[in-house]
Amino acid sequence: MKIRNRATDAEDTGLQMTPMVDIVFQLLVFFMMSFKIVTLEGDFNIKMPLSNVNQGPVDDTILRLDVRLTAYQTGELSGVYFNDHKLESDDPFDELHAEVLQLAGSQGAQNSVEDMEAKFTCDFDLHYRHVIQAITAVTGKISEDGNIVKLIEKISFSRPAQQTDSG
Amino acid sequence: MRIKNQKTTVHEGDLTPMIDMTFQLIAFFMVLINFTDTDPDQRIQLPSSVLAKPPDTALNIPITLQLTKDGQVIIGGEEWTIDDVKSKLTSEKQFLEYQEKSAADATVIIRADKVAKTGLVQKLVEVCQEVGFEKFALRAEQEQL
Repeated sequence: MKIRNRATDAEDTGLQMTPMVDIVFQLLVFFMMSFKIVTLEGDFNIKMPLSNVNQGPVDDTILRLDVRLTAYQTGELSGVYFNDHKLESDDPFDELHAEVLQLAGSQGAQNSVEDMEAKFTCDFDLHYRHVIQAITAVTGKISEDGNIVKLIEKISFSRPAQQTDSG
Repeated sequence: MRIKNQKTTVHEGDLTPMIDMTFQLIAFFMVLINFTDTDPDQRIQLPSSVLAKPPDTALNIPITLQLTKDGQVIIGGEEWTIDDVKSKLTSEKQFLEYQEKSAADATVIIRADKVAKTGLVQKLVEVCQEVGFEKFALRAEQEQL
């Protein structure tokens, strides 16, 4: 009587894993190649219609704060002015932030930050990052618990000044 | 005489841990993959700000304008000069009006390079205003504290 080799039959019924592993590796390579590390981005929202000049009387309840940023010809920041006085500290944006905080606090109930508007006048050649630094300084701060405390939300720009300081 | 069984058996390694690990890697990359509508141009390095947090809700009608440090405007992969971009924005406005929306409903996202001239950014904003856009979002990357 012929005895069949039972061990050999058992080996033949094993699943063929190779195609699955091939596909899985191809998927892995696809996702790895498509993967890109992106930094988180956020926005400063500004509402600026074309011109408010001919749209009725100026709202006197709004407290307007003038921020002027001047630049060297290289585009680097040469000075920050807040309501026509120059901020002289090493970090003028910190000082600007402190001035806005002080003003918001001193105005108290009469002028809340909702009633304030920051108007930026910048030199033409100024590097854009300094504008973002200035906007950051006046629009808010990060509290100790990591949340954003909003200050002035109304922002406008006046026409850029062409001249720049030499340097 | 006893005949030795010559049949060779194939010794396969246990593939299960490797396949488990591979599936976990696939799941990781699948979750993190990011197919964004507007591909950020690599030439543009955004300024950073601690207040630049990603918005909680998506903008209603976003139109992204990217401004390089050389003053070129990139809209949907096409490059324009600031002087010529008005025609493109006008066609965007007409498309919005065709959909019974107005330019004032749209938000223009400005992704300007951190060393771009502020005057050029303002010039771009002015062109948008002339076409009829009113809402702007100045984009910055989130600065880690």
